[in-house]
Amino acid sequence: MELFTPLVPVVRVFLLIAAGFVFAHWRKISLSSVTEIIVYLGTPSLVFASLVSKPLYFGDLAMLASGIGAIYAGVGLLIQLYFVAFRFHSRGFALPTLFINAGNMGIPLALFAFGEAGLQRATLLYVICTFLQHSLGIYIVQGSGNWAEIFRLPLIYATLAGLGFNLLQIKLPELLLQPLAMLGQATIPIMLISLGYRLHEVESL
Amino acid sequence: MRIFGGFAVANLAVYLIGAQGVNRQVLLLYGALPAAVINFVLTEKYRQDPGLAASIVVISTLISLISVPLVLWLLL
Repeated sequence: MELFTPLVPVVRVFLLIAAGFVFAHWRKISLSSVTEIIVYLGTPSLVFASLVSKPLYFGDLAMLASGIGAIYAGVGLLIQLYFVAFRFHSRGFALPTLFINAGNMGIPLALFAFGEAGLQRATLLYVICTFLQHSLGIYIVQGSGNWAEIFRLPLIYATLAGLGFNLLQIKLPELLLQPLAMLGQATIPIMLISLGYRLHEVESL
Repeated sequence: MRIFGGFAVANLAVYLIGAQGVNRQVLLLYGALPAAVINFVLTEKYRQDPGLAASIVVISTLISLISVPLVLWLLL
């Protein structure tokens, strides 16, 4: 039973998804404006606030970066094989299959299972995964082979700024950091609710 | 597929780069993690099968309730 303790947050996640699902039952909204707020305001704040404050450990950077790089490359290859084998192509399939939940699940799990050493590695992996998500991920989902799209969204800037402030040890005034952190924290439940909302529509197709 | 394929690939990867100790354990765990929620938001924004993406996030997170304890049990 002890092994399941770090999975308690997963239950909370499902409650929020269920809330979105039920909401979709009696209210019809346009998800696109919610999505814009998440992509342009919420997630950048979340990423920035979580990156500035995390103590980073670079001891095994090369090893971990090549490890996660190899995993992404391998899974990417599997996705390509799957597309060829089933004559099917969907960027909506490729994206969530490739990019993992390194922050919300990876960090607490690694801390729980492998202690402080695990937390250090997990935090570094989180930084690498976030960077890949906000560069390669946007490139993939947008399609048409246009790298410029990455720089049209604030996500990559939030990632780099958070990392830069962290490395240069620049302390932002609390007055500025606090609203960013608040907005960041609100983003996760909003994402889960819109996910539940979308699932309801899938169901009714 | 994300979880089982990812765990298999992670095993191959740590073998190839010769990772050991905590690095190995954390990489194996990361190979088997479920999909991130932001992927759904991005597919919604770019209208790339958001329904499918939402399903993958939910199903992989649901499976992780079983697969994560299994992976940790194998590692510890």
